[in-house]
Amino acid sequence: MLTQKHSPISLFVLLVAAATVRGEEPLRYNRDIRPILSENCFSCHGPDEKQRKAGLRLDLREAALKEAESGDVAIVPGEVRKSALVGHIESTDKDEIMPPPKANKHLTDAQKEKLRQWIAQGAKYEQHWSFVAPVAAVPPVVKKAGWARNDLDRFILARLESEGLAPSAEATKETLVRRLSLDLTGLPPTPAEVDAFVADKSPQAYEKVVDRLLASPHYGERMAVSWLDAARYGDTHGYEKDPPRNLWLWRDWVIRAFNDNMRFDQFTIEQLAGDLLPSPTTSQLVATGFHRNSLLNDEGGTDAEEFRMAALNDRVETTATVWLGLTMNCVQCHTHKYDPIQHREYYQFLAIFNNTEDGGNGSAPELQAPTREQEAALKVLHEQVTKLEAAPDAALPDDKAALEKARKAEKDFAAKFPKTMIMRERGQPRETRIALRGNFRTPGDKVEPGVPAFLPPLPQGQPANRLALARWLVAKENPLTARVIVNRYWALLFGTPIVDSVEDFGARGEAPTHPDLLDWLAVEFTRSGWDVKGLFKLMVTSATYRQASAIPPGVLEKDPYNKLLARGPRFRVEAEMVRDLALAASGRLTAEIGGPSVMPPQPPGIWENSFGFESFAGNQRYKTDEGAGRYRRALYTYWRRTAPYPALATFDLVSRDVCKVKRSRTNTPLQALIVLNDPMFFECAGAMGRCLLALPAATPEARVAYGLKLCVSRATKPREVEMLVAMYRDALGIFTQEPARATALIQQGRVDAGAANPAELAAWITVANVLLNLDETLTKS
Amino acid sequence: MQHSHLPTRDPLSWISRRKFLGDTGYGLGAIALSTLLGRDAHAATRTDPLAPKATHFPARAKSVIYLNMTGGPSQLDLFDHKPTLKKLNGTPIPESAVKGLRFSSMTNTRANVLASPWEFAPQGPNGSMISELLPHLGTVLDEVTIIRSMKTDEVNHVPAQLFFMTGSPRMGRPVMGSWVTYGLGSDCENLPGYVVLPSGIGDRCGTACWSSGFLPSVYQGVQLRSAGDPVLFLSNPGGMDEKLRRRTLDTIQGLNHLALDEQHDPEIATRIASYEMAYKMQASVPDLMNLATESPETHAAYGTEPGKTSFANNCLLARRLVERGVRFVQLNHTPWDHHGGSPGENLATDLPKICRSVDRASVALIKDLRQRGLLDQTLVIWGGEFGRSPILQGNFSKDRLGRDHLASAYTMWMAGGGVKRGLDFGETDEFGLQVVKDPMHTHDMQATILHLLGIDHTRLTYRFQGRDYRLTDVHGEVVKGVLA
Repeated sequence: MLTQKHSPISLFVLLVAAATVRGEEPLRYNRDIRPILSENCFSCHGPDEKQRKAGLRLDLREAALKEAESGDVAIVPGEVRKSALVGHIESTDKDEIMPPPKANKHLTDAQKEKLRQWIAQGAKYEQHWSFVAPVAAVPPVVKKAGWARNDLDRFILARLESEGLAPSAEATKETLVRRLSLDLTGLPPTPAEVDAFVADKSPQAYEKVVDRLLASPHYGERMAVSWLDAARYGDTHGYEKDPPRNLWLWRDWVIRAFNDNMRFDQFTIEQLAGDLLPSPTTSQLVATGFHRNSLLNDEGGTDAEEFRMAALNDRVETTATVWLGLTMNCVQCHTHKYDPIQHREYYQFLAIFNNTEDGGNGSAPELQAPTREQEAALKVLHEQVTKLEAAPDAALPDDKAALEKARKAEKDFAAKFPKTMIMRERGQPRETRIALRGNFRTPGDKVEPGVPAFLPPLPQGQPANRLALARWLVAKENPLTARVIVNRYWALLFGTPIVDSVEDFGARGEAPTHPDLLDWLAVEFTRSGWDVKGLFKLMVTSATYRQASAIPPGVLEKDPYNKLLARGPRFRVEAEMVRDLALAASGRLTAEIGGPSVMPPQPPGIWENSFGFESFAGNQRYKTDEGAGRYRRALYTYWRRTAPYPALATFDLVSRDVCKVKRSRTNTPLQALIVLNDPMFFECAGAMGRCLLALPAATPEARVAYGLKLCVSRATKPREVEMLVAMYRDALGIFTQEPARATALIQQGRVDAGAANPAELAAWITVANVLLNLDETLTKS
Repeated sequence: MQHSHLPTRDPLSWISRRKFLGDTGYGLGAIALSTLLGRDAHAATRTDPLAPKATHFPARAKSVIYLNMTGGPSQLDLFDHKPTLKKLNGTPIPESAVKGLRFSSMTNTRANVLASPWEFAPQGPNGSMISELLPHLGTVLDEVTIIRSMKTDEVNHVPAQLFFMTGSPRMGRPVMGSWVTYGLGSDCENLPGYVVLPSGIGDRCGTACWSSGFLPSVYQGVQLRSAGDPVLFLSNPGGMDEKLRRRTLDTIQGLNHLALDEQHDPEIATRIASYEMAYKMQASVPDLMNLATESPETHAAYGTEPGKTSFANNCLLARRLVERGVRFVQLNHTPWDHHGGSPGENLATDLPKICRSVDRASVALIKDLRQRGLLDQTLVIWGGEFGRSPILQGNFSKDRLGRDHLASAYTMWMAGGGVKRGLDFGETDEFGLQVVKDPMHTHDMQATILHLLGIDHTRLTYRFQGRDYRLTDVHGEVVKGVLA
């Protein structure tokens, strides 16, 4: 039973609250109230009917204003005293107080105050911001208008000005060219590229660099990495034997799609439903590998249907996270507690995916498809066949034989194409039933394919299948996709996203720091024809992006996470870049794009942790690459799910067993040990040391300066040179006295001293080891 | 370590403590680091998701040693004595006994009963019936709670192991050790908070058994290896001795200090500290691994042979780790998967063999911890992902026997850290197929372990993709009956 109990103090607070309401800016439901209700109330008084207590629902205004089972009314707009909700949140009685003690949730005084004010102001609800299609906001008027380079900047600056902060000055040209190169290609600029940019005084100099980098084939490699996390890409099936699978052609498809700047809507459609397009191309079939990245379980005694269902759940959740920023995993077992997604709707969504040939184990279906090189060669062979077929004398025995031969050559060549896992629709549709409490062994009602009702409907006039879903995701009416995508791309550059909960745009997600900017970017992105390179160009050419990253006095206290961007981004580069930087700076990098995954050196005993190492040794041994495969970029490193590559995993690599759209960023001693001592990194030090020593007629100071330029792309400061040269001389002294140690170090660096003085070479390798470990080397500044 | 030639300014004196001690990346959630505020700058710069954190209520255990017997040890041949099976040996299992139970698809539920070929005798204060395969266990039963009523939902290895370790049968969730170090941090500054020591042939789920799943990877188990570097990349490259390494580090740190002065980014201070910690680990880890300092009596008790990879060595290392304040130590030992057919899976010969390698060392560990006054604060858990069935698997000779997996009833034991001393807990039916008294489901075990560590399992949560996840999913009850 609801009763009104007010202590004198709370009455006093109420009066004060009522008094302060007047003249104050009205509270906004989305900004001020929903987060409180969502965190504290909705799990029992929200969308989930089964969990609902006292017949009270607070997430819809209509329902909250109605009489509850007790006869009381939770919210009476404008009438704080008559609203039963207020009595409950203020109560000190353990049977009355809300949230109840066992919920482990507590409202702060400020939150209670807000709720009272909001009711006093009329308890206005708003539709959740991300469920309403974005409208391009007019870029705000700013005081320091001359600072802005494009409209994006006006949104950032307006917020800074309102917070009493000023933007930072532009970073140096050296910093900018390194920042751009790392952000757009994942590789540092060469010293020559740095020099060229510094020397280029033309007004277009910056844009020229941006265009060069966007056109680089390494752009696609860089952009692919976070997509592979989201898609849960790996080179093995997972679980017990964790056997190999063929999906690297799909990985290469992703790289190529980024490089070709495929429109993001097309990128979506081909990956989710390439096979359902009219007369799909081979490339479009390869693209469907996206959802074959789900795990498979080949363990003896396993129910394959269980893992087919697990893969379906995984596909639903991945699709929802990647495109919609919705947390569908909550709905597998019950209606969402915070967002308007019914239990039934989860299975309607799942039904869209429940009609493909693949099962819970095994790779089938697979397709043999050509690599880029094979594609070119195939074209030549095919042209030969076409030419002979078209020949006027095709019926003559000689020409007939030539044609047969050409046809056979084409067929034989195609038989050598690598295999890749694909999606293929079944002829006979499967029935989909609700899995009661998420358990497929207890099926409930039958459902038809569909999408949650609170979002726009699937496109009409076509079957409700994956193709319809893909088109729906990138339809103009879809309020979520463009926002979710631009938010993640923003985070890639700036380190902090606009919506912190990149994976959750629902009621419990974080509110955007710059809502108008997010919407403006989303609208701009779709308006541009989902032009991904265009979006990156827009962001990196902003004044916001070009700021220096040093932290100005007072800013850290005010904005510790740099969400307001009163300075440029500065953070440790991601796992892949840690490796790629060392390879590139030392000249070791094999810059080849794509191909089967490779096995660079790793310590023995890593794969041995996986099951059946002995019995399945034949195809499960780690075969360290001795040739070019040793120095490929990190994204080509063989990804065995049950035995990740340690030098990458330790740098906050995510496990790709399920979809991940963000990584943590830590700095730990285990990481330090890797860059200091991992033989792979030391091979880079070896190559760099040799390169420094080989500089013609240079002083130690000049060699140090060049080494620093390789790693951090800038000119040295006198104190740095002093410290590094002093260390070089100490090392040289040691290695001159103990030549055996020089030899050992050179060997560890995997270089050949040749005619060089071994002590000198060893000392330069030591310097290179230091340079590769600098904070600045490992950081995008 | 202080170096007088480096700039000595405390990096914390001018940057925001809040940021410095707080989140290091946008994915890392709020971390309570207040305990660090009293420490010196170097300790504070452990960045520190691993800083010790407050418990929900007073803890009974500070550390956990989980002796993870992967593969499914046969409780019917070790702990759960069933005279009925003797009577029915070689006859078909009654249909009523197996009705409604979920088995692996390899189980033939119409095959014959297999009684244990080994003798059981009363042991310890309660006269607990223990198999002759475990001659040492009887000597510490006064410290142990035997739980014969374990139950799991999963019938195959990897899902069941994941279920025990993460609360879910699918890959991608954090394991218990990760949850515990996430919840409590670690008291040990120069060793990882969560250490894994594998022995025997490969684990079924590889590193998934010590994966931090969706938690930040600092909570991942760190494997201490007996071959090569104990911690990966611990030793300096050939030709670089400790002195030269120190010299290079001083240079790295010197340049990093210059950058710190210019950029004012607290992350630089963090990196400086993590490089110092790496340097300290280069000394502390080999010291930890050096078993030669242990007495001959200790070696004899454990059956250790320094330099080898063995379960016994790992037990001794486990003691040395908890002595140093490491929070969670996990020993994975295999193979217990005695189906009968494949090499190494013969129940008749391979079960006695693995028991010999495990019994002595596990018991020595209990006694050693007790003698050093560590048992009270260390929770030792012994067991696997499921048990084995009373039905004979395959059609082998007398010398080749096998049992398939059983999810509905199996045995584990616990000792120390707030667990009752000398208790027989739970019972199964006369076939050992179903629990009839005091059931303890996997989630209950997890809830109980967390409870002993001072953690309320319903409140240790991490939000991932919009949902507050727990080790115990949405289940689990603390089993009060086993608490001291």
